[in-house]
Amino acid sequence: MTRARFTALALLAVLAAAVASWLLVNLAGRDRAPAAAVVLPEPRALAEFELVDHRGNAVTKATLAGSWHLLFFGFANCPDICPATLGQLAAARRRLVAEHPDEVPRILFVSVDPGRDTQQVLADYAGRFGDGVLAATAEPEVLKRLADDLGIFFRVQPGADDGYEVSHSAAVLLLNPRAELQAVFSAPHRTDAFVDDLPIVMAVR
Amino acid sequence: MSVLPRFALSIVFLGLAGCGEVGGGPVVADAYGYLPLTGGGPAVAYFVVRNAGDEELVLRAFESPLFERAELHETTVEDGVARMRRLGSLVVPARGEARLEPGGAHLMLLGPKGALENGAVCPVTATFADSSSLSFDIVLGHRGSPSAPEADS
Repeated sequence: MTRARFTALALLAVLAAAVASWLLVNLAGRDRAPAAAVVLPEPRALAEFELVDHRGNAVTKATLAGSWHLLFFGFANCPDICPATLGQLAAARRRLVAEHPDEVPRILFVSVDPGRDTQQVLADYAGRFGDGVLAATAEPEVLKRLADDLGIFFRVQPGADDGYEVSHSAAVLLLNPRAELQAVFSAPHRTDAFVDDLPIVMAVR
Repeated sequence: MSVLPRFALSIVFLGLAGCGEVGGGPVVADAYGYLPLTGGGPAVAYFVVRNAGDEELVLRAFESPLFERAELHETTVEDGVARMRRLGSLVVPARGEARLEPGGAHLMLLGPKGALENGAVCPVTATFADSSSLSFDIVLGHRGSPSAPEADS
């Protein structure tokens, strides 16, 4: 084999390897589209808001900035879907901490029931789900503005027993570290879907 | 053994059969529940009621000595909105089952009468429309504890 032919073959091999790796990266990237999360084409900025968390601290866009957050609207007296969802988020968070300790979203539970969900109730509640969970609420008109901004529905209406019934959107919202809406997970939720999709969505900033 | 105690024993067994715990009556399986998440908040219980009989059964009421009230509720998610409503009754079809499970029908245990420890055994009595009843125990655990499996882990 002449030196020229050897060089040509070597160049061809390098070129083939480059094409193969380009294809591999792009096809693999295509496979890693989120399965459950609906990612907004452009992150959506939110209007200013101020909630108060279970420790009595303000929760605003400024305090949320710097970390990813998973938001869920509910109420502490809800025995079924609210704690089940928070349990899934907390379980997903524990699994993600093991794999991606630097970028694990915190959980923000927004109570739409400020009448019953006092700071003490929210402190009990948040404490059940481990680290990285904030529980916060505000006056109804503040909650309404934030919920409207995020496309979340909730209603507190007179009911038969405890005085009123609460209905609320069951979606989980992902806010990016600029406190912008980045993605939405619709119910029914699965822990695996959070574990699989969050690293993909959080890599797209 | 004299005749009288044996007779008394058979009455006891007949009584159990009347409660549907032996023979072809309804049985409860896969019962578990979660303790209240906040002081004075509701506990929740899930289980399956199986009916091997040829007649449908209608669950009407529940009670537990550990709680002020026990009520059937149902969570529904429609158009992404979760709602909870109280159920007046729940049908257990003939040769079928009624499932109380997360995100669906569940038993709300309201007004704990005292402090409840993780793993507390909660006796429950269910009453059917024909006035027969069925008693069973549910272990209540903290969410995430070994005695209380997560709905989806």
